[in-house]
Amino acid sequence: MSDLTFIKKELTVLIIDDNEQITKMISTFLRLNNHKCIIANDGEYGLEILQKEQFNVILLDLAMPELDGYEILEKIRSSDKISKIIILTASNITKENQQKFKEIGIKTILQKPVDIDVLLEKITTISKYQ
Amino acid sequence: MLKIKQVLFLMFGVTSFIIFYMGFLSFITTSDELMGTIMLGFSGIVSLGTLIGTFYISRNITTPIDELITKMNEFSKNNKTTKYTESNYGIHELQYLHKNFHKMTDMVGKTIEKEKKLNIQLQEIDKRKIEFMSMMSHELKTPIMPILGYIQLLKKQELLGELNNQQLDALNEIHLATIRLQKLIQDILTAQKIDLEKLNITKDMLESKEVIDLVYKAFSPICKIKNVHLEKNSENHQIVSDADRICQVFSNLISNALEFVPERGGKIEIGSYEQEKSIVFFVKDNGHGISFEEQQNIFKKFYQVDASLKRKKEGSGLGLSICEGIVKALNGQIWVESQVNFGTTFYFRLPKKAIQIQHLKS
Repeated sequence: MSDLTFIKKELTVLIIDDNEQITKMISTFLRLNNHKCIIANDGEYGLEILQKEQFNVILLDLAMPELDGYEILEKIRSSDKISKIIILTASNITKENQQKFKEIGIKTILQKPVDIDVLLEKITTISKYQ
Repeated sequence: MLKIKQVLFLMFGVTSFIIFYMGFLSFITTSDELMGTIMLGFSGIVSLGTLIGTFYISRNITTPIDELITKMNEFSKNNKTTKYTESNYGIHELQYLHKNFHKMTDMVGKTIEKEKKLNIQLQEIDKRKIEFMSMMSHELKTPIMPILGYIQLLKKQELLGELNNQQLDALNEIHLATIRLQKLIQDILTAQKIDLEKLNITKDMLESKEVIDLVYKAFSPICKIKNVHLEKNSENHQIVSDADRICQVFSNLISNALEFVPERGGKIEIGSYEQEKSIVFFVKDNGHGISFEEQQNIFKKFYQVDASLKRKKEGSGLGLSICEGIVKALNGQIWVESQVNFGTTFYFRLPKKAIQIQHLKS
């Protein structure tokens, strides 16, 4: 199959981020590109829906009040869903944490603000390996 | 090594022995028994007195000195002395010495205490500064994300509908301003990280040509808009370093070059070559050049090359000091070669193999 068929495939993306402006912007962009989006604006809801449903790609913010991205990762670290996660964060990631993310199987870490075309490219790349 | 006590007893001991011996001699040799007995008794009393005197003097001199020595040892070990108690040593000079030694150590001790407190305070401030920085970094970057996202989205006219030329113009202005703001935030945060020696450096095996290609790709669009010819010229070598940081240095150097090239016929060349155990990267422009005097200052923070000759410029004045900080953290050197009216070339040399990276506390 050519790359084009993959790009046109409809993806279901879960966005876990406490910043509503960001989730709204990304979901608008993804929906315009014919993908489905589920939004979780807090960690608890994000974790709940993440465990319940199936997604092609999960965008995960790290710094969130209450349950943060690190804790979510800790709770699902043995699940196969971890390979579908793209970390999207504005905080600085230390070398040790970068190494930890790699070890548990996270391939993509993006720093905010990220170019939305780059974001889409990474989302399609991750979904291709499934 | 002799002790004062020993010296005193030796001296006065011998003296009193001689006195007593002379008394004894006169007692045996003299014919007058009474006179001899008096001489013997007198010499005995004198020598005994001398011995008692010696004992008294020695106690009054050596005891305070010994005490002073103990206190000095104690002070040099823990920077603390025991409290001064008025003691009567009988010898004025020694008592004075004691009193003043206590005064001195008291002062030194207090200063040391103060310094310790100050140090703790400084560490606390440093910690807060880092916390504040990471919070600011997060808070400043977050709102840029939806702004840039929506700008890009609006520009995708096939998705959100067509814009007329004026709307597109306005959107382009917003876009440029946002990019400038984003770069400014990044510059300030990087400069602060360099100051605090907290710059994150990763070490990966890189191909120098790929790095140059990446930079070329990133800057081609803006060079096109500004009508500047961007050229790349790179040999390919492997280097163990941090691609993102190298790109950041290039980004700053090219942004600078873009400000200085002539409006027509502007040319920027980027590239790299091998030099012994290092790779030298460079950014060459055909701008106004930088005078020798100005070359001494350009790596200083907030320094901006005199604008009188040139076009109005943008930028924080942090760019080159950041470049220098990053290059140093990567164990390299940065320098400039320039001649007024003939353009400027910035070079930075990085070791091919990563040495133990200094400058870093992780």
